[in-house]
This record gives sequence, structure tokens and C-alpha cells, in this order.
Amino acid sequence: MQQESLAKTLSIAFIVILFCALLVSSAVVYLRPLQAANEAPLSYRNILEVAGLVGQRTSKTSEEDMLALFQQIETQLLDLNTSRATTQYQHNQLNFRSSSNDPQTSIVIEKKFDKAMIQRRPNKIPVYWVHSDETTTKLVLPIYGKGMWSMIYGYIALEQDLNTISGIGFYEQGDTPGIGEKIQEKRWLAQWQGKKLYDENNELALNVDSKIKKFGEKNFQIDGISGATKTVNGVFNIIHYWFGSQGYRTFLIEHKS
Amino acid sequence: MRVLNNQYIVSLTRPLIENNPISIQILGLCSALAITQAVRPALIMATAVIVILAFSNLIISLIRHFLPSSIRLILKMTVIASAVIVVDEIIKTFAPDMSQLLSVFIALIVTNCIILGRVESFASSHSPGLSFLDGLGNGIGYALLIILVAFIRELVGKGTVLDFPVFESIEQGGDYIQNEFMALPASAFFILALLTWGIKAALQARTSED
Repeated sequence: MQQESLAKTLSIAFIVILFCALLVSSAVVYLRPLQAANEAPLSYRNILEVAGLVGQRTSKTSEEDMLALFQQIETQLLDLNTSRATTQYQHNQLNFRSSSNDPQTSIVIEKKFDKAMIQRRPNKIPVYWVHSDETTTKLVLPIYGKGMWSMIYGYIALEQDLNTISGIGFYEQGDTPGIGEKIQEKRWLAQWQGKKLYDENNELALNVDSKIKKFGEKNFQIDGISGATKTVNGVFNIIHYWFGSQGYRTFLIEHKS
Repeated sequence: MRVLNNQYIVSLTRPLIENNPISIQILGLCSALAITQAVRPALIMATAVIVILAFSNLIISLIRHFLPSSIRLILKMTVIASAVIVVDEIIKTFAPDMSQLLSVFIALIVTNCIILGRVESFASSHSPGLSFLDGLGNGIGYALLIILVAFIRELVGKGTVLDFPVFESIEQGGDYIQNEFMALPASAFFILALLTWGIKAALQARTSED
């Protein structure tokens, strides 16, 4: 390491970085299609978990069992513009993540309405009716939006009254490990059960932390996570976007009666 | 030739116990505390570390004569980080459930001091073959220790090994009370401390006998 001209230093740096960049990008490009294939069974599990049909991640339910459980779920495709749901729909037929990028299948959300910071909303999104026994039906709905650093993806399950939350889960997020990540913890998610979304006037009243100034009634109040205010605010915004007028509100109100 | 051969064997075997990265060099403890709750994640983590360590050592050793000393560390980190991303992507593809369980800890191998420690102290001054074996040896040394800790924690904490029940827990109708302390990262501190003490004492006893 005798002579170190600037040119040599720069060119070595460039070569090493080029090599590393090629390595990383080829790994990502070649493995992406294989990873996409993994998503399907995972999303079965996420829906089943939120619906309370299988236990948390630690429990061992085989893929065949999950597929069998999934048979009792009635999948519909909801048109968010008209709030009409079609029944001819197979799970995984539509990837709402990619359709929300396509101008043909999505709409641009006006800034003032874009609480969840997703910029575009797909026109159609799958919804899941879970008939766990003959009398009770739950509805599982996908929700997503921006947390502190990342997009948070999850499902929320509603009881038969389409107002009481029966379960919620976030299956993908990239917020701060150990802090924002806590939104995936069972302990925090457990308090959502039994909370209500809309008040008697059909106004969205669910409060997370103290986002709505006055602390709401016990039925509408979710505690925050200390240190993870921004992530929790993200969750609040996600709920308020997806259960607002651009989201599921009309559909839910129509189905309540 | 014999000396050369020995040198290769030594670089592979010395880090296993005698110069173990965790118990003797006291490196890479954070990950050892975090992922030793059960044997399965520890196995995946250990494999990832072995692969990353061996290949980072190999690549750095190959280019060691060309590395300008002023930006040496940055370039080494770039190589290590790339290796980590590749391994992380492979785990995401072939073991997605493990990838969710280990979450950020695979990505954090970048900051695992064992990797930079070996690259800087060994691969920068040794031939590619030796460096590769040194990486392999240190990786396996790390693996041995974390798998041992994970084995103890899972067995005492949950009564299982690789999720296979050894002691029937009370919830499953057996009589084993799960030790919840073992599920917490702090327990790994105590196990590691005891292991370090034991290994060091044994090595000292051996050298004083010689």
C-alpha cells in the first residue's frame, strides 16, 4: 500500500461497488418470483389468524389444514367505487398491491383525503366472509397504509354487527424493530377485540392513543405504544382512511341492515 | 508442506473452542442473546453467519492487495453488507417463516463484530484459502456456541428441542412447568457467562498441565 493516487482509490472503489451492486441486484431480481410464490400461503394464514380460525404464528397448522379452513371463507371482490361486491372471485386472483399502481384499476386519492398516505387506491379489493358456524359470520377486510418508515399491511376482522372489531393483525411492516414493530405483538393487538368503529350516528369514532382530542369512550379507545407514536398514528390513519367514505364505510352500512 | 497443511487445519479448528469468537474473543454477543430462544432460528442464523463469514473473508482476501488503506473499511463493509443482503434474500425465498421469526437479525449480521473482526484481522493479511477456512472455522465456532445456548434455553424454557416435546408441559397434560426466565434474552447472558467461564477454566487447566 505504497502509492495511493486518487485515481486508483476511486477506481478500486468503483469496481468493488459495481461488483457488489451486481451481486445484490441479481440476487433480488432472480429470487423475487420465487418469493412471490410464498406470499399465497402466508396470506391464507394472515386471514385465518385475524378471523381467529388458527392460533398465532407459533402454532403449527399445516398448509393443507389452512387450505381446508380457507374453504369455509366466502371470498368476494368489492368494488370500492360502487360499494358492490361480486361473488365470482377466487382468492389471489387479484393482487391489489399491483392493481393499485395501475391507472386503469385504481384512482388517485386527493391529498386531503389521503390519510393513510397510499396515494392511489385500487378500485377493487377482496373481502372475506367467514362462516365459523351456522349463526355467526365475521367479515375480514384488508387494510394498509404508511407507518413511520414503511407501508403497514394488515387485516381487520369485524363481528356480525359489522361494527365491533373481533381481531386485527399486521402481517407486513418495516417500522423500527423493537419499537414500531410492537404493533405486531399479541399483547397490543388483544385490546382491539370488542372495540367499536362507528358510534350510533355512524360516525367513525375509534380513537387510537389521543389522536381524537377528547379521550373517547372506553368502547372506542385503543391505547398507544410509548415510543412508537408515529407508527401508532399510522395505524389510526389507516383505520380512518379505510373505514371512511373512500373505503368500506358505505359497504358496511349497507350490509348492516 | 506439512507445516502448510497444519496451518490450514489450525485456521479451521482453532476458532472452534480454543479461540471461539463468542466465548474467548467475546464478539457477536448481541445476536447470540437475541436469537437463541429456540434451536431452529439459531440453526438458520448460524448457517447464515457461516456462509457470510466464509465468503466475506474469501472476497476480501482476494482483493486485499488492491484495497486502498484510506477507504479500506468502507469497502469491506460494502462487501459484507452485500453478502448479508444476498443471504437474507435467499432465506426470505426458501424459509419465509424463519425470515419473519428472525426479522431484523439477519440484516443485522452486517454489524456483527465477528465478521468485520475476522475480515480486518485475518483476511486482510492471509491467503484466500486460509481466510476462507478461518471464516468457516469462526462461523462454526459461533454456531456451536449459539446452538448450545439455544438448546439449553429451549429445553429448559419450553421443554422442547426443535419444537419436539421432550418434557410434556402442564398445558399439554404433562408435569413440566415451563421456565419463563429462559425465554427472556437475559437468560442467554447467564448461560453464556457460565459457558465462557467453563471453557476458559478448562483451557487454562490444560495449558498449566503442559
